[in-house]
Amino acid sequence: MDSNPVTKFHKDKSLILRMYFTIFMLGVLYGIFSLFLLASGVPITFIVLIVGVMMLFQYYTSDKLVLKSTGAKIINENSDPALFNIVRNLANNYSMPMPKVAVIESNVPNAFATGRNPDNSVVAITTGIRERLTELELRAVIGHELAHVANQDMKVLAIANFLTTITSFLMTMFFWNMMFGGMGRNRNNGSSGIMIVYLVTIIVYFIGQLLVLSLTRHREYGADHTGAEITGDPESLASALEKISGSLARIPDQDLRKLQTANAFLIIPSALKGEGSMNLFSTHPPVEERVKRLRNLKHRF
Amino acid sequence: MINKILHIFKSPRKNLNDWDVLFTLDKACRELYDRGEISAARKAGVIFHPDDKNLYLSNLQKELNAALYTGEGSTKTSFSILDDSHSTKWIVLEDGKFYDLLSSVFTVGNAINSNGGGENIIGLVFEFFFTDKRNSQENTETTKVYLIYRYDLKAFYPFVPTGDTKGERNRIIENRLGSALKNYGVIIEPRLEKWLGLWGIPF
Repeated sequence: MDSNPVTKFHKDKSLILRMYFTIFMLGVLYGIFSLFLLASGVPITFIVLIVGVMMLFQYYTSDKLVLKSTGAKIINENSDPALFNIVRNLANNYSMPMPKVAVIESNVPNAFATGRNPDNSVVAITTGIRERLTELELRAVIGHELAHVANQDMKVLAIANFLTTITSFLMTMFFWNMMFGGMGRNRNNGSSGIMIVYLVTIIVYFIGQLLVLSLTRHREYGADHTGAEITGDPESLASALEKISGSLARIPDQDLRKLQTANAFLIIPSALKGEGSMNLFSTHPPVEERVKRLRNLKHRF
Repeated sequence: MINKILHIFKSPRKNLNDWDVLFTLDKACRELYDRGEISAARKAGVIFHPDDKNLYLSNLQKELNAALYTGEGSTKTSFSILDDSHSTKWIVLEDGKFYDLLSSVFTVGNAINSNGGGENIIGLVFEFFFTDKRNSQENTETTKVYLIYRYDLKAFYPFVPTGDTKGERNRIIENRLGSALKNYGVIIEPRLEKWLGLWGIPF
């Protein structure tokens, strides 16, 4: 039995604030957009209903769909006691329901959690990640995935994606309307009116996507933080991230003596190169930043 | 984008000279000594390409005696000049007081540079013992590590050789040490691909 008590770190207030701000901005964006569509006379109720049914179906079946599409096999205490016990002990420590545990035969190092709530969740890992990580690192990765379950990230992101999916449907609908007529012919403003609505929809879709991606990245930081609470071992997650991402492979094999240009006092310092870059289109934050934050947690007991 | 802009304005290396950067190590080491994560930083080295045409480098023993032992406030740091198996030379300095060691290394580097040998200097190297305190008290282990300072980068980076053959290094400990030092304000080179090794350090 794993008897480690749950380690409580200070809440990352800045992260929580940014997360709520992003959610607030999403709400504002779609609120204004809805008012704009209503004022433009666009019938959106039907689309909201269709997308709603689709997303609800996806939401309630996502665990089964993901497991089928990845070929994941559910394990139990008898078929894989080592892995099962890691998950059970961590779940017990954090007083959360024991999720289903699955293994995917793949050399790609990966792990994920899925399911609509903690009672219907699955934590899956690939054989590739298991081969590469030490037991402590694997435990840390599972802790991170359990954190996604505990923080109900699937639910939060499903709601956020619901709005962007509606916008995406509207965008497609307006496009075909402009191409072949339809709604535009019945409107007083004519085709220029629908063109404006179409352009606004594209802009809203783009901003909405950026906000959802930003929210996804915040949830990753949040899962790192909660995962560190679950295992009490942020360092192992940092180490696992470094191994999985291959970032350490960037440290070279070459000897400094061979670099003739390294010696001069005169070379322009490279203080501003390549630091702090943040890809707005990434679903995950940069590994270096996650590792840095995790290592900072060590000093925040 | 905002992060990037903010980062440019608060870039730690902006307008820092070599001594400013070297001195970040002194402050960090004092804190890390207290935490028991770093110990016994008594030796450091200046590695350079020999140059017979340079008078200063040719008379190094005499010149270093003058630089380190004469004048008010001299540190009296002991030193030796060694060759390594890569045809490069080392000035190995030893001092029980880390600040004096740091100051002597800076003095030697500066003296070589101001006497026309700056282009021969490959870097400065500091020896430490790093105690990895991951996983509380269970897995602590102490490793001999080096911190390399490069004038062209104006930054340090860790180097932990696991053998004398090129490429043999402990990247995990290096990265962990780099993070620990950075947390305490040491200017660490952020681009990992610049962390070139120095195998066969003679101390």
